[in-house]
Amino acid sequence: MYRGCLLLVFLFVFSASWAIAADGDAVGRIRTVSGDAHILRGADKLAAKPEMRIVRGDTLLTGKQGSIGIVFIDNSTLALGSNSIFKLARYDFNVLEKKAGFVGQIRRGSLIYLSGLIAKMNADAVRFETPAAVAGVRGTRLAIKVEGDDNE
Amino acid sequence: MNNSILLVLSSLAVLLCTLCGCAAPHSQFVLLPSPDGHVGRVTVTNKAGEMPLEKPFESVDLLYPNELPSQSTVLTEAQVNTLFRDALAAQPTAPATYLLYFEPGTSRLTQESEKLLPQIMEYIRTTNSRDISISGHSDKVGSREVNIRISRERAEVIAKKLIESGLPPESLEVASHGMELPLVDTPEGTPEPRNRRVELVVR
Repeated sequence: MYRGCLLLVFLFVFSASWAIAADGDAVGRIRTVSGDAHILRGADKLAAKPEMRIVRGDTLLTGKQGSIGIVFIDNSTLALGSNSIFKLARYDFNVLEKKAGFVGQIRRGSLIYLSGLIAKMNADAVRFETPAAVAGVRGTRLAIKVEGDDNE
Repeated sequence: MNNSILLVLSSLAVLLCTLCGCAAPHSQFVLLPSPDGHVGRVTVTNKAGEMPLEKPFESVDLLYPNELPSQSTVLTEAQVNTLFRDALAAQPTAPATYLLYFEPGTSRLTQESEKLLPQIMEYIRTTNSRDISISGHSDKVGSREVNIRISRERAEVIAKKLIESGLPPESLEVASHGMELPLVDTPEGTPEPRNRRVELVVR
């Protein structure tokens, strides 16, 4: 009985870490950090530091004095201002397979995005979602501010 | 006296808003010029329709997913700097891209591109970057497979030169894109010097 449990736990842990590894391809790196800034990745909350890798599905959080700047592998850049909640919902960049897509969701705070190769490959590939609307970005720089409830 | 009436009225307004659930987060979108001055296009869409933003600092402000203002507004640069002060300050340096060109069908650099190498190495030294991507490309002469091989060889030649100059191999990312991402779009079979290239990005 005990052994069976151990095996189950082992299998669970193994499959969980396998899932993280399979999903763990870095799509960007943190370049600038100030103040309180974190990455939510699955159940983990990691303190953001320069040179840390960003993977798709990451949620980025900044506090009252916090900010983060990221450079993605398609040369696009993203900066988050204070009090922000941002999720990288989709990031696909594969030139040979002609796969290109970027979907970011901002629930609160502010961001500035400078488009890169994904927007060049596919003019409709870059999208930012806020609670009130969706913005499609074609080769440019975009700023978004979402004033939400600070206690969320 | 007037002040206290205002206070009561505004408290009532806040209470009403909370009661009818309209404390929706307010979203503002502002189109900014790229650092090189280029202004692209942003389209803001929700259930009420869509609004294009095409002018520098053109902005749209929304409260609800089913409402769209009838007009956008154009902000001043100073207003944008105030609204987005912390995000503007957090922007990373945009990556620097260099283009190196090759002789047809080979991984031999053109003379002009060969001369560019010291300048690139100097830039890498000054920025101390450890995140450099090298991607090889080809024109559309020859098969897809051959072009993937040629463009890989082009990228590897450049990677080798950088490593020889003292850059740690782990700071390089090498890719081969074949003829799939031409700088200048041409029909198949067209020789195009501008497409026979390595794009070197220093992040």
